[in-house]
Amino acid sequence: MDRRQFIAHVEGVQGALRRFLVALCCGDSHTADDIAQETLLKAYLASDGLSNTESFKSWIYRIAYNTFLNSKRVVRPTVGYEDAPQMAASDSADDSFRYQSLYAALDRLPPKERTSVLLFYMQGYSVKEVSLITDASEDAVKQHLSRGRRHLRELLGEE
Amino acid sequence: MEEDDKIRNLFAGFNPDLTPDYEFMSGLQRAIDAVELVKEQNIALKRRSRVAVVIAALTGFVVGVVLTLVMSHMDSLWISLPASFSQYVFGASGVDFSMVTWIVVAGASVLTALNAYEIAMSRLSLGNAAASVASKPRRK
Repeated sequence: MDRRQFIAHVEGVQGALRRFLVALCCGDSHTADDIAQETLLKAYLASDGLSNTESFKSWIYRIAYNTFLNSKRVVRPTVGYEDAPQMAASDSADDSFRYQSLYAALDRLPPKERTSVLLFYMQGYSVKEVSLITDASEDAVKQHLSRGRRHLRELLGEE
Repeated sequence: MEEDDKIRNLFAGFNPDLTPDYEFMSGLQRAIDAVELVKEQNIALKRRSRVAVVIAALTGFVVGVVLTLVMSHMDSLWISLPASFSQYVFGASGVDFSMVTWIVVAGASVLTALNAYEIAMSRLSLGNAAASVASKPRRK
């Protein structure tokens, strides 16, 4: 796959990928975009080894999931409280408020449950496809979905 | 099933504000440009290294051949050394001077080859840098 083909494929999936990552990062759009950029760069470096372009989207999601897990292991520097007044209000403040309860509920889910729920309900993947993306067994995915559903019901039902 | 639909509906309307697509894609293009640049430089480095290895091997071979041809004269050189110096350098026991000669020939060939590799790599790198500067348009 050459660069032009790769960019053409990416333009078709980047919107859905970034929305998925924003939900996975519980509303942190900057981190989500960083992970998206890192994902697509890794995918570009490995694109020569991709023989079946029909599975491009699920392949990208698999890389994104692994990149997300790796990012959780890295300690990220935080801004000190004394710098807070100088920081301009983000345009995404309204957006965060709009989905505040959803992000709060997703944040309470363990990463694997959250990923399975988002891939199944938001992206529309089947259990088998979710198991391939997350490298888990189908039974494990079904358990994650079942627990995720129950947790979301409890958390969002409290609102 | 009803519960499934509830959760699907929850995400159906999920449309967070994202940075504009053109901004995201241009950031990605810049990152890919950087990767391509590093790839090209790695390929160029490998090519220069292969050329330098060939030059080093040829140089070492030529030096080895030349020294081998003058070996007989080197044997006579060791023999002509003062006895006290010979004993100091090679020890009290008798030494096979032909072995010493072979060691000198091998050592000189290897050192010459190594130096030839270093010089070839630096000259090829300089040539590459000069070519890239020459290809950039000059500002008036």
